[in-house]
Amino acid sequence: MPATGGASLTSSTPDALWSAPSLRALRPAAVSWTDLRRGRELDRCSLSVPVGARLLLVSEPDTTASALLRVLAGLSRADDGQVRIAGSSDPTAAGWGERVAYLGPESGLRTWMTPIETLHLAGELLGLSHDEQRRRIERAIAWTGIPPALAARSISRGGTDLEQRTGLAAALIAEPEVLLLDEPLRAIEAPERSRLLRITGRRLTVLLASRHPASEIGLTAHVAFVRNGRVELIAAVGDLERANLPLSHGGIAALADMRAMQRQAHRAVPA
Amino acid sequence: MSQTTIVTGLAVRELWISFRLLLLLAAYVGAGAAAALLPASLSATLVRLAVGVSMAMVAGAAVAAWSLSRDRLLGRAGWLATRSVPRGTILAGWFVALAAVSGLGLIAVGLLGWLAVATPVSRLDPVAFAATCGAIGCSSLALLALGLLLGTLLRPPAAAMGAAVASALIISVAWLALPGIATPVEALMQLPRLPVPISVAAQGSGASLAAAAVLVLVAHVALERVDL
Repeated sequence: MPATGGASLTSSTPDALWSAPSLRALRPAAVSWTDLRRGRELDRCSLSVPVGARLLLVSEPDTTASALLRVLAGLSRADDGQVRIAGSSDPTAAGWGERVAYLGPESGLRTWMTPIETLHLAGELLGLSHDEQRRRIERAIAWTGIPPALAARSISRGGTDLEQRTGLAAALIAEPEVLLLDEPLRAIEAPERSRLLRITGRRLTVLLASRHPASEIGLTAHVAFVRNGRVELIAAVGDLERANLPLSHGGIAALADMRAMQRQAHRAVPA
Repeated sequence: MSQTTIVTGLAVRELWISFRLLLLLAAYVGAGAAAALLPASLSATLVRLAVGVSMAMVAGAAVAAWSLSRDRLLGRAGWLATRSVPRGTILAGWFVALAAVSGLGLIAVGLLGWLAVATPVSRLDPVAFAATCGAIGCSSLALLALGLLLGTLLRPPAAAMGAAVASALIISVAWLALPGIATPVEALMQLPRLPVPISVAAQGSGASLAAAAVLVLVAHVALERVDL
């Protein structure tokens, strides 16, 4: 289960140290937010997500999870509260800016550009050397399965499928430590979408906001339920199975209600 | 290559691919061509030139507003922001791109205008004419900044319409309602009669640049607060 109030270690630790048993036991926080407020969507929302976690964010109302990811990505401003990513509260490139990638329901790409141009642009904005750009672009194209014939044609000619694959490839170019996915790749067939979203990497932390949790089976190990602007439930996906509940909005809400009742009953027991 | 250079290049390509660059250049060149090709007296030519340039500047403000607002709405500004491009750099990129295109247009309109008015009988001072054109360029920067401010706050149609109306109002109010002050376009119209045209142009440039700086600053503050 993702630990709340995780240690504030940065994740710039050298790779060799990540496999050290002591550090694995510590599970430093990759993303944590404290007392976030934003309009009626977020009300003193707090959570700490450890490095390497794959967390499904489901909310009531549906839009809250997306709003939360947009705040974490720096696209929306919170009224109050603090966000720390990779141990830093500085959202600029000098802080966690280049360690986080965001992929939303709208790609935000200039569809008159080709996928290759878009990926080179992403690489240039990151200040990557030419060789490094080429290496990362090749890897991202291979992962996202962009056909070579379409890679050099404008994105608009390839339709929404190509646009979303290019969006994912552009996010992966940064080799992020934290990947924020807000209803990603909805235009792509379910099996292929699942393959694309099973991004490997022990250091990679993934937060996936979804209005259709059933379609995210196998992509995340944990689920967080945000209701009335606060995190009400953090549970392993297996906990739903053990409670005979489906991985659906209703199932997650029911588990949150059950846990709340258990907590209340526990408090009601006389000393 | 700096992020500002990359974003400016992207903005210029966006203007080119969407024909907004051609629209803006055509507005300036059209103003110059109308003055150069249609025979008229010196004063009539200068009035035509001033009105044409004013209309092109209004078009520039509308294009600026539409461009930034659309970039915001389609998530393109957000795409840049999630790649650690500061919001101020996005604004600066658009401002420099639009200013460069408007500058090219003004050079064209200035050359065409000079061809139209530089006759042996008119005896216009070329330095005064160039200084006045420079002051008009500074005015266009202020209107571009106004367009970008509205593009930061409103949706594309409302931003473009608002920028066009506000720019037209600013030009006409300054032209018609302030008889003691010669705005740059007004100075162009009255150029043969101005006793110290270069001084008037310098004043107009200073006031316009100050207004542009304030508007860019306000647009930056607004862009830092809006959702991308």
